[in-house]
Amino acid sequence: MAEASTGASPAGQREPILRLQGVRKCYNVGTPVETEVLHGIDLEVGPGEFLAMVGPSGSGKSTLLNLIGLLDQPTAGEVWIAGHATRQLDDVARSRLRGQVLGFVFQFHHLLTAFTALDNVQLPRWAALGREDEEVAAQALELLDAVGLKQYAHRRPKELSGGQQQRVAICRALIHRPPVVLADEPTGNLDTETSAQAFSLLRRFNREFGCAFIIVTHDLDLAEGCDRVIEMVDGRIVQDRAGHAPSLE
Amino acid sequence: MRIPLWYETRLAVEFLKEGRSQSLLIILGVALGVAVIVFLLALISGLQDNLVERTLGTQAHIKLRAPDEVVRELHAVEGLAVAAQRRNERARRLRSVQNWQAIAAALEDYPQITAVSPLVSGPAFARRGEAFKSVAILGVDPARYARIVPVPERMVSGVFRPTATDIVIGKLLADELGVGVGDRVRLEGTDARAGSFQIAGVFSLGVRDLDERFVFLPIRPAQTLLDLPGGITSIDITVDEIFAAEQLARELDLRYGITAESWMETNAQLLNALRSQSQSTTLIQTFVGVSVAFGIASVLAVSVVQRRREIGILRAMGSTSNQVLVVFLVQGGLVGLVGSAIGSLAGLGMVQLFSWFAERPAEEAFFDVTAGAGLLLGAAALATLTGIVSAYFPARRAALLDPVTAIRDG
Ligand SMILES: Nc1ncnc2c1ncn2[C@@H]1O[C@H](COP(=O)(O)OP(=O)(O)O)[C@@H](O)[C@H]1O
Ligand SMILES: [Mg+2]
Repeated sequence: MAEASTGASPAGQREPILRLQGVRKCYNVGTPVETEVLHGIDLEVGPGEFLAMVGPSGSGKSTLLNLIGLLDQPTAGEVWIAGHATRQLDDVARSRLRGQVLGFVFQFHHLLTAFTALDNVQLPRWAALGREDEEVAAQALELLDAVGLKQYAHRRPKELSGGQQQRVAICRALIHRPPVVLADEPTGNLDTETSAQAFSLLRRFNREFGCAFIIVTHDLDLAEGCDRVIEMVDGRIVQDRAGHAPSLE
Repeated sequence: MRIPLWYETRLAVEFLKEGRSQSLLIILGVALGVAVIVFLLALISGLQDNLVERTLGTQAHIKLRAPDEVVRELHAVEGLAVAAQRRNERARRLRSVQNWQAIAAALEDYPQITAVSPLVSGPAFARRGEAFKSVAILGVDPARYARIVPVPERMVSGVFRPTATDIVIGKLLADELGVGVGDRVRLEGTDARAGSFQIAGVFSLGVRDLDERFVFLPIRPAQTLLDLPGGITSIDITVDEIFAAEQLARELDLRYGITAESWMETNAQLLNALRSQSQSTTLIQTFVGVSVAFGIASVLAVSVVQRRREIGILRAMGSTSNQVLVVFLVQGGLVGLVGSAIGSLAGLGMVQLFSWFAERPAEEAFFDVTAGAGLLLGAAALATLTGIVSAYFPARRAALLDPVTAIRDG
């Protein structure tokens, strides 16, 4: 099943943007309650793939996403992102790589409440550049315009609805056009209609920018709208197949 | 243009602005601490300057005397006999400074020396009818001496113009003899040498011993009365850097082979007192500084806990742990800077108020406060540094947060 990944990938013949090999994760290492929650994951994701990850709660989806996102270190195995082997990298290099090649969308959007929508979108670029930049500001405004929030650019998160906040968070994940965007239950906190809107937004950016998306979701209808669906159970990938209705927008 | 730490500073400022009441509280805390420190420093240094000024208002910064022969000859010998003999030697006879004209001329060329006044002084008696007082005769060049001790500014009556026939005496002496300007007084010096003088002026230097004993004459009649023709007993000097007086005294001592005594040596006790006063002020300042530091640290520690999730997000967005560290260090520094700016102003206001009130009861200024720009800049720099240092531990905790748990648990 590990090798099945490339089969369903529309970009399978190209160099993968993401590759996991023998990735294991143990929690509480060295204690009596040491538990392995990922049992040797192998996975390849091609550039521009739109991928859903499903599975019961506690199956290890978030853990896997955090490893891919370089927020956590695997106990064993290696993660390659955009050609970089990441195991040996120090904090600065991992942080920089995060800022360059990865975008994050979280369930609870997690915008910084002290900043306006426009500033929130620019944050990843500010961190990388160490300064503000007119071009970045223009790009951020363009993105907000694309998600229909241009007139809210100077509002703070508290003055926006949940759906609007999540759209701002999506813009923030895309400001630097990362080759890989990770979304952990991005619609888990939204109602059905808003969920569908947010999802189609992700799909649109996937098509426009060519970013690969890995989206963890419990919504099977939304999952079937993806190019590829991976199902996890108990720390293993048990199924890796094409979505049933990838045309869903 | 690249502004250093723009990103970290932007975050720090927004975080501080968002946690408004917390930030305000701690800034006020810092301001209070700095105000206390500035006030104390200004008050104490003003008071000390004033004390030193008063002390130096009636004496030379350095006094050059002829070396005691005894001290020279018996330098290596010790014991009671020496001390006794030395005392005898001193009492016996006034000795002139050798070659004093040349030395006085050479002293004029020192850039750090602002005034040079040769004088001849010695014991005498003042008699007026039945009244009979032991006095100290000071033969001076009035113009030169006035630059050492401003006697002309301290005249109670008459003028400071001693001549061959006129003298100037202290207020207390005048009272005890029952004389005033225009009255005559008989002075009796060494070996029954005596003369009758008219009082040209009466001064009050505000020091009991001087006002009770000093009698000013020109140099020549004093030489005659004290049987020291052509000689002088000491050279008084003032310098521009008063606390460098002792060092210069040692230098002159070596170069001219005469005894040079600085005001710092004669007022060692006063200097000691000032020093220990400064020490206790430093102690108070340290305590205030430490409590301010703890205040900043604890408020920032709370802020780190409150912002766990946001810190995690910043890390996910590519911020390095160093950037996060600096965000909190800058917050500490900003709190210190802003707090000290407010505190300095408040401290100066307190100083102003205090001197305003304190000046009323006393005739002359009780103290002269000199809270200069240097003091304020120093306080600001120190407070900023304190802020950064006290922010270090909370900042480190923020930097070392595991982004995964921070984002998940918030
Ligand atoms: N920090 C942790 N310490 C110990 N166990 C953890 C930790 N994080 C997750 N787990 C465990 O790992 C397993 C996978 O969790 P997770 O990746 O969050 O699953 P999912 O996202 O699929 O619901 C769960 O059994 C969970 O209890
Ligand atoms: Mg999860």
